[in-house]
Amino acid sequence: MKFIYVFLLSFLLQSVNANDISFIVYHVKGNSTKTNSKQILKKGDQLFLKDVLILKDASSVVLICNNYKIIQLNKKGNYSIATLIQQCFKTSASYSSSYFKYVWNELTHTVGKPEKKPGDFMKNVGAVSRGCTDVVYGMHTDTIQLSTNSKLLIHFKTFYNNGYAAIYPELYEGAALIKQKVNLTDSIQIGTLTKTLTPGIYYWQIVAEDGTSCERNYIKIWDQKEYKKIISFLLKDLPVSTPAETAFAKAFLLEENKFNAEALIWYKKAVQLNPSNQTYQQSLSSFYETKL
Amino acid sequence: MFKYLFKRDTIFATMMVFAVMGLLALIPINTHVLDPIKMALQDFDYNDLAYSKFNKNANPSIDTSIVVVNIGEADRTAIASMIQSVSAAKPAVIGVDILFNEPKDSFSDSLLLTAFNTDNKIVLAYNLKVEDDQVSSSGFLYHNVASKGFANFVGEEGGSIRFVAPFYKSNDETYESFAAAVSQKAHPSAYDALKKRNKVTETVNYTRSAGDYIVVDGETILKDSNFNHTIFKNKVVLMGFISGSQYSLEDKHFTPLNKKSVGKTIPDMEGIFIHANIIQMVKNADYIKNSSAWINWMIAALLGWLHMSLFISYFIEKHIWFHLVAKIAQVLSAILFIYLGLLFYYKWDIRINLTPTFIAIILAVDVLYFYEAITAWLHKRFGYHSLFINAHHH
Repeated sequence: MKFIYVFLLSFLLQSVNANDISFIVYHVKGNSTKTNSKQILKKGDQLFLKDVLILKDASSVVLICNNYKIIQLNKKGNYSIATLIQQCFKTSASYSSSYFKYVWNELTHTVGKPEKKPGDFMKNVGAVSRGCTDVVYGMHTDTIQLSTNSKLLIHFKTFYNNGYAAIYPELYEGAALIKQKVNLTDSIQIGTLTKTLTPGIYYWQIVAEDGTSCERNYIKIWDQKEYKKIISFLLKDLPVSTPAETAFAKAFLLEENKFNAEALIWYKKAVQLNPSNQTYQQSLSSFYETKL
Repeated sequence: MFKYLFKRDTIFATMMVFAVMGLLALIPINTHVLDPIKMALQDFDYNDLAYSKFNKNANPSIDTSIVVVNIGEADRTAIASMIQSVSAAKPAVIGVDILFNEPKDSFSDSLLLTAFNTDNKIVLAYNLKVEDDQVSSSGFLYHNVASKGFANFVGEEGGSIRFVAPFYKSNDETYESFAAAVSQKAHPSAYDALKKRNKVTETVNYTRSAGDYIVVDGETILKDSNFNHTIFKNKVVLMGFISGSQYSLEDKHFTPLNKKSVGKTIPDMEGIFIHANIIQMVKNADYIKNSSAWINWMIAALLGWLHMSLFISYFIEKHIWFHLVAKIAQVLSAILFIYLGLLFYYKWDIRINLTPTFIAIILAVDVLYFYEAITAWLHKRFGYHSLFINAHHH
């Protein structure tokens, strides 16, 4: 009997080998990679027998076997595809075996005591959370003031697969006025996104295909003339120092007032005028991150 | 009943009860798998009734040593302004019970960081993650803040908060809880006493509900020019979120103060008030004392022995009444012991673990039959004399 099982298993593995592709990635949440590739896994990626799937913290992956069975992984760790493939050929358990499996699992699952081993019972956090980690922006801002012809490029990284950038007329609710598909790690030219909009106040965000998102960001679109006027007004009383210092002061003032596109120009100018100044360099790199 | 108290069989049968308990404890299985009551009451503690039903620590005076500032929906710039405003009033400590998950905008973030680093009496909360004994933490800003404490409580996920780990030790590192870090700034001697206790966990002694703390609206601090900031002077100021709605679940937890101790209900207390209760407990050294294991087992042995004596007297003399008397005795004992256990908790903050006593009394009846069978075999084989040999009750 054992011989037959071994034979059948090797036969199945052989047939799998012949097909070569073992899994197709159906859904990815968080950061997951495979060996020999630094690319983050995405929907449609193929996994082969030699691969090892690396699942990071708070990540999950849904894989489709070549017999169309689905396997879901949501625990951090390294998974050898050669081992995972065996799960594709498992027959679904009957009612009786499921019942006794449940009883066995419960019997062998000893419940610890919080007062003895607190580390296992520290999931309740007694603090309010502020901020969303689903989307990380290279320019940390929830408010932007832009001119209609702005070319500001904002880099971002998101764990959403198949997301899109959207512009809304309201802070909450309401249908998107504009939608644009984005990738997991991408940059978005916010001016291009808003070019068809008339000056006014809008809200924008990166949204996952299933609708998951962080809170919406405020964006004010200015008429070009008005924009120039407000910038001149803001900078008119700024005391003049060395060119680099003046550029840095302008950048700071504009950032404070959320005119980020202009602030970026002046931060870059300050660095260009005095490249050895560490403060300028650090301010620029923390204000405008391009590698996330 | 008492005539059997010092008989050899009573003592041996009682010993056998504890031997059986020891053997059962050796089996590493969860025997409650098919017990829906036990499964439903997994997160239940009889001592919760002392708060929820018998009003332990009810009607205390308003706590004036702690002032809670409700940040509401304030953004980071506003939170930074609130901190600066409170800091200017020279409080004993400012505990910021907010997790900043990620950078927002460099201007407001730098304002926050400046606010944290200009006053060394500010403590920031963070989230300590323990996964398979591996400790990590998440969040933003707290790395750059001198004083910080983890805001995690100890309890079942989504369950009632009864314990706190004042200090969590892992791989030669010691992590300080938010309440301990706040206490260190505000009440250094009380903090030292807490450290000296060297307990892995402390049972939270809830002395006040949310309504018994002074709560100031953060927006009022910023906008009301007539606001009297002296309210914060030398006080423990805790900043966090308090929802106006009883149905809001943001940072809300179940506590033993919840009027509904068992079954489906809604969380009753914001995390900030739980921290406030812990800080108050540390300040007043008002700790819950847990009876030591040897006391619990002594009580179990004594009461198990008394019950065994009663059971044996009915077993031998009035066997027809044996089961009825045994069941009534078990129920009455349970009622009495729960009353006494709660009384100790209610009056003297002492938690007594009566589980071994209950198990001993419940097992006594079955073990008695087993003991009788053993003595019959010993009598037949070795001529062992027992009270049961000449008893004709079957």
